[in-house]
Amino acid sequence: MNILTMEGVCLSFARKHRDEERKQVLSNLTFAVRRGEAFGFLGPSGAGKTTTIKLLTRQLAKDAGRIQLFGRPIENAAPADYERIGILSDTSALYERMSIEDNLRFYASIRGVSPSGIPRLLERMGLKRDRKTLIKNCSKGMRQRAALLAALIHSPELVFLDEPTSGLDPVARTEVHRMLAELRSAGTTIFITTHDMAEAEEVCDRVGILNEGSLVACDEPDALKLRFARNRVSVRTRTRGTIETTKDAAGAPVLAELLEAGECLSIHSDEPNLEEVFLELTGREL
Amino acid sequence: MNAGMRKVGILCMKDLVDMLKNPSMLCCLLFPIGFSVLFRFLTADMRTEALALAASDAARQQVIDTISTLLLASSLCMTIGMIVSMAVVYGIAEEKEKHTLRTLMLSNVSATQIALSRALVTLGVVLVVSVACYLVLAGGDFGLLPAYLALGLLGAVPLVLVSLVLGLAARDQMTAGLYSMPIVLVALAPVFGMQNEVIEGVVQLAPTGGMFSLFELAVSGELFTAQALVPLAIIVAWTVGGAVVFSMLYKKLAQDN
Repeated sequence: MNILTMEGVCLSFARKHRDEERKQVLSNLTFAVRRGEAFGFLGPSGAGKTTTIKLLTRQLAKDAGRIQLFGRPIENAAPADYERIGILSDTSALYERMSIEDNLRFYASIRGVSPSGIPRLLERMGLKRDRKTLIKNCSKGMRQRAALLAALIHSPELVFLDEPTSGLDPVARTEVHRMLAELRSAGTTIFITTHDMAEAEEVCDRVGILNEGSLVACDEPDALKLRFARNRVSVRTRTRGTIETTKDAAGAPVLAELLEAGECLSIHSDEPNLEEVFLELTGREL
Repeated sequence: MNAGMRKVGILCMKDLVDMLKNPSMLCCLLFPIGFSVLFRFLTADMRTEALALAASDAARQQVIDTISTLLLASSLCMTIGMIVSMAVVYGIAEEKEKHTLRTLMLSNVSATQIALSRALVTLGVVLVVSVACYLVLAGGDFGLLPAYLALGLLGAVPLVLVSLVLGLAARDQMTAGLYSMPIVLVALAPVFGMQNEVIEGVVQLAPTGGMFSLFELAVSGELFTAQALVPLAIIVAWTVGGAVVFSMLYKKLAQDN
């Protein structure tokens, strides 16, 4: 069952000068996110990832198409629907003159949940020792972790995470990935945008690749890699070095001969990683 | 309804704590009290001399009434102007600049709840500072205190709403500095209006003009007469206008494009 769907969604922005054409930001965007899955939204800078999150959270209004959230048109979404959502956006911010813990207590109260889980969350994110630190004195990574906790404090059914690990050190990044895995196994639906392909492979059940406002691919990471797999096999041999051949019938005699001769040390299918798939689809660096 | 009121209560507490932790905000809250102390000393000799010159009890009462009106109403205008411009225009602009307003909006907090909490905290602070100013200026005479506080709150409401609009319109705190100037000037306008009849006629239409006129009526014991209807209507008109503009601008702000 889909928790959110976008069908033929288009969005354009007015240019600064009136005589210029409107800039098309999203064109005919169509995809669905299933309940309980982690869906990665990948794309180069300016592709429309954050804009899509803004549309899904009603910070922006679409020009055309249909968006459904929890099975209802987004225009009819009730305030209670937004109690079921957690959002970490590029503009998520906490109160600077309040400590990390006070901010979390504030958002727990706003969301109507008990603050009893806050110490455990702080410990998970490595913020326990700094819980009394004012946000204005926190590093970027600490702010990002605290903002993530604030977005998740009410255990939402659906979370929108816009580059949640940006600015985090490897340890904190690993902890965020572990937390997301726990959320997913608890049935939370995760909609995540990221530049980090390794992160997408690790966290996401499916990914959508966005390029210049259009979705150019949408599938499981392994399926995408297989779709773009090259017709090439590398064979390490005992005496003849590394031999490359094709995976199809044309390569079969070469492989058979090597196997019969007992030359094979290892056989590797040459499949691209997600980053290579991304580059092939978009033709752009991340 | 309960959840809504709970959120307003939490926002009020947050706004109050944030206000008290902000040094520049705190200075502005203390400003009207400081000015009241200053004016008390500056007018002490003038008051004594005027009372000594007065020929009758009625004339003495006239002197007391005039000085009371001038000082108390002026302090009320200053309290409202300083606190509202700072707590509302700067407060909202800071939330906007630092993106905490958007984070609140994305946490299912409505325009009404944000406006209500800002308004309640600001009015609460206006009330507390007004009591302090009254104690400084009127000493032990508490006769006018209820009217002073009630009219102060009534006069502050339209300015709070106009300030909420200006706070939302301000891009950042720098712009808020510019936008808060008219609030201070408009709030103080009735004080300047006492110098000239033409100006007085105009400033009566200002948001605090109605409040000033009502306070004059309270001093002369005519607050509950037909004369109070026009100033009251002015306050109501500003309140309704401010509420309409605020709700329209908040909806626009919620849409990013």
